[in-house]
Amino acid sequence: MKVVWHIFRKDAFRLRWILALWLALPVVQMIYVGLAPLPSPEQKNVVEVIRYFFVLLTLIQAVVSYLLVMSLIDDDLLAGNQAFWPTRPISGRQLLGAKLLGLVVLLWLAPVVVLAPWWLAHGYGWPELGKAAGSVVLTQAVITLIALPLAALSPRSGIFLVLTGVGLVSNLVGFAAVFNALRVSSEVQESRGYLCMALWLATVMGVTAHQFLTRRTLRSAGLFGVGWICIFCVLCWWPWDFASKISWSHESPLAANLTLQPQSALVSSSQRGKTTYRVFNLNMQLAGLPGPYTVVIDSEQNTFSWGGEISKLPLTRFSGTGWFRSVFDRMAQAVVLDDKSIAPMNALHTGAVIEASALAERLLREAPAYRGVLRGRIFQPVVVADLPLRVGESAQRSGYGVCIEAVQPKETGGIQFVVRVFSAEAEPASIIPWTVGTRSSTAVPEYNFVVNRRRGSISLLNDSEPEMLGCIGTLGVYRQRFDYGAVDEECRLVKVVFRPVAVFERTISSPRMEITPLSR
Amino acid sequence: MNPIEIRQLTRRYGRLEAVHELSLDVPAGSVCALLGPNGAGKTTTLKVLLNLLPPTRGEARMLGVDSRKLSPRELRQIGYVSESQQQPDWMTVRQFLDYCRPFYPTWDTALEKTLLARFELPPERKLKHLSRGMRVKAILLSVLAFRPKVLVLDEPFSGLDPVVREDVTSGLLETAQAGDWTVLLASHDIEEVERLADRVALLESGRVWLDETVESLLTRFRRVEVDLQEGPAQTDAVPETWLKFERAGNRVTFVDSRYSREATEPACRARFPEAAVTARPMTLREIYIALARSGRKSGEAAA
Repeated sequence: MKVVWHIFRKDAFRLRWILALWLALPVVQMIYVGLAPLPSPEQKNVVEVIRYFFVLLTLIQAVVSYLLVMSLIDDDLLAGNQAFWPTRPISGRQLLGAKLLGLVVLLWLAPVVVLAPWWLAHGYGWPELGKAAGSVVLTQAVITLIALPLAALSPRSGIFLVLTGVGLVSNLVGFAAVFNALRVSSEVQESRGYLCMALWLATVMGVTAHQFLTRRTLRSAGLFGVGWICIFCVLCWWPWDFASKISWSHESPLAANLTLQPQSALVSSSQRGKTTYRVFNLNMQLAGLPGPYTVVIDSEQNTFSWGGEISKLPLTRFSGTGWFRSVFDRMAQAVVLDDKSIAPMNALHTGAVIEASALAERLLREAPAYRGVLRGRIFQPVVVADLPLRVGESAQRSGYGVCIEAVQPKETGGIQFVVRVFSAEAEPASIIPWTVGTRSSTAVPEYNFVVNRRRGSISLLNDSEPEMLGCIGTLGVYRQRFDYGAVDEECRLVKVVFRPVAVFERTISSPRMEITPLSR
Repeated sequence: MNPIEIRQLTRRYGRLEAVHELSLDVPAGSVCALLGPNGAGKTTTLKVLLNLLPPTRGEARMLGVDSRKLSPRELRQIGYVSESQQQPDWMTVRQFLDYCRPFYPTWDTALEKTLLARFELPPERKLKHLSRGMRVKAILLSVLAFRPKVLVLDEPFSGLDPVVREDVTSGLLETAQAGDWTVLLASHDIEEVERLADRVALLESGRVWLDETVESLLTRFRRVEVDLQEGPAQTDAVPETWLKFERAGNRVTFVDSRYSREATEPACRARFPEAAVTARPMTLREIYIALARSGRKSGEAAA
């Protein structure tokens, strides 16, 4: 352990300046957001520049992080026959331990340590801190897992960069070709995805450990090649579904009594442009949900069977929050007014599957047995900001923050006010236009109200398109503008966010599901 | 058990066979020099010994352990100096020594200080900013300070000016006096080898074709000059042990690789009855050149 620590200290000392610069990038963003005045709403171009500046900084952080992995390995070469360390009393196992320690401490945990004060300053509690730290560590781990085997196989940094380029191009071409040719169900696709990730992890660990312990670069490269061939084979040909049988999350007590019962099913037609689709609709009764919570179904697998013949719906478009908008609206309003009488959302729940045309006729002709696996999340409405409607007022809670930047009269009457919003429900990838972050892709409703408690009035503000300014380690910074009629001194801005508090999975079944045709 | 044992070692790079069934033993306490032209397989042999390269066939053992299984336990007793080896060049000399020190329980801090002063190394200068000679001295210092049982030196004098060369050689000699070590040295610098080594192994095309003590070589090799004057001379079919046999006018010169007064002088008299024969000792450099120029075949005969 002494040797491992000694090598780790050497690496940390060597990389101290580049690490400091790398960690300074989010600090620069923090300082800017914290100190510099954001441009006025009229300065659209400046907002765009800031946004792309943040995107650039985020990309630079990722690239530097990738190069840091190489730099960490590069000082004690594993490939080639000119390395320094094998001629010293250092075993491959000790070196591997030191490098893993370096990766975890310097590249995974150091950004968390730098960002933690920033998160704490924005009202993050333990759950938000855990989630944010997990997100940063996961991002860093993904970067590390890509760079590590290439660094271990490269005798020089130049070769590492060449391998990176070759890997990037070949994977883009290879995966594009494979995905275009995919003709399998979503369950099999998901299973292939899990298996590919597991294979990738095994390949990275195998190649890295083999290279550290033996320094036989050709054999390690062979292992790497075999790993990739396996991944491509699985991606192209793996036929079995196991993903639908995996339950990743521990079920919360909140979902203990939650039940979903199929009530009715119907097939309708839907017009999209010039194309007519058949849509399979499933209505379910939700019960047993304690209040005040709501449910959103994220995914489902539907299996219909006629005797021994099984058909699975390949594509699901389950209802999003839009289906229950009124429920969400009521709940948000009730939480603002502290209305204890709010009922849990034990209501009818409707799901729809589009493009079921091939199946639709048969569903209508012959009632099948039905089995569905549904995964969903339970949301709780939380007031994250409640502040007087004046310029400069700010409030924050649970990883959300609101700061009123401007309140100005409009020429057409009424006022427009501009708020800067911090949101814990962001992630670095979401600020890059061509990527979609997983959390930001789920439409979690946020509500903004103007409330006058003395008069007992509450007005829901219309959503404006948020101007995303940037994202600093999972804390999204954006701006929203609201139009409102007239305000007085007692008016307050109240922000309500539906926060995910639990996940659940339910299997529902019906031995004979009667399906009704419905024309639209 | 010898500290260094190489048995039937073969190492290939693709189709090129750098070392071919090489066998060599270096006894404890001896300083053995590997001599040979460029591409003879010297560096490859040393790299296999240090497990920097795996052997294709055969085996190399250090301190009784197969080189492929060298562990930190053995490596704490083995020093390796190679000018071409990657070093942590970003470190200063002091940082480099501070980094190396904890790896070796036998590290002699007093010797480190003595050598640091003797080699006139600037402690605060980075390795990458040192001259070639200074760099070699820094690496050598990091190796000598833990008093290794086995020292492997790969071209340590290459490209060094005479003063630095002298520093390195005397540093090695002084440290050698203080401890009992075994040294395997690959070098082109035969003068330095002659000062350091008590044994040489000559390599060509990956094969050892001579392995002998320096003392024995210096004893049995003589440069013989025959002054024919006007007498008869039989210059064809000379013994195989006479290398570089040349006749220029009335003068015949050759290197006798099995010299003894009792054998060589009668052999000369038989061929040159009235000639004056003189034999003078040779340096290791002259012997090496004579052997190298006369080719491996005659060398084998010479051996």
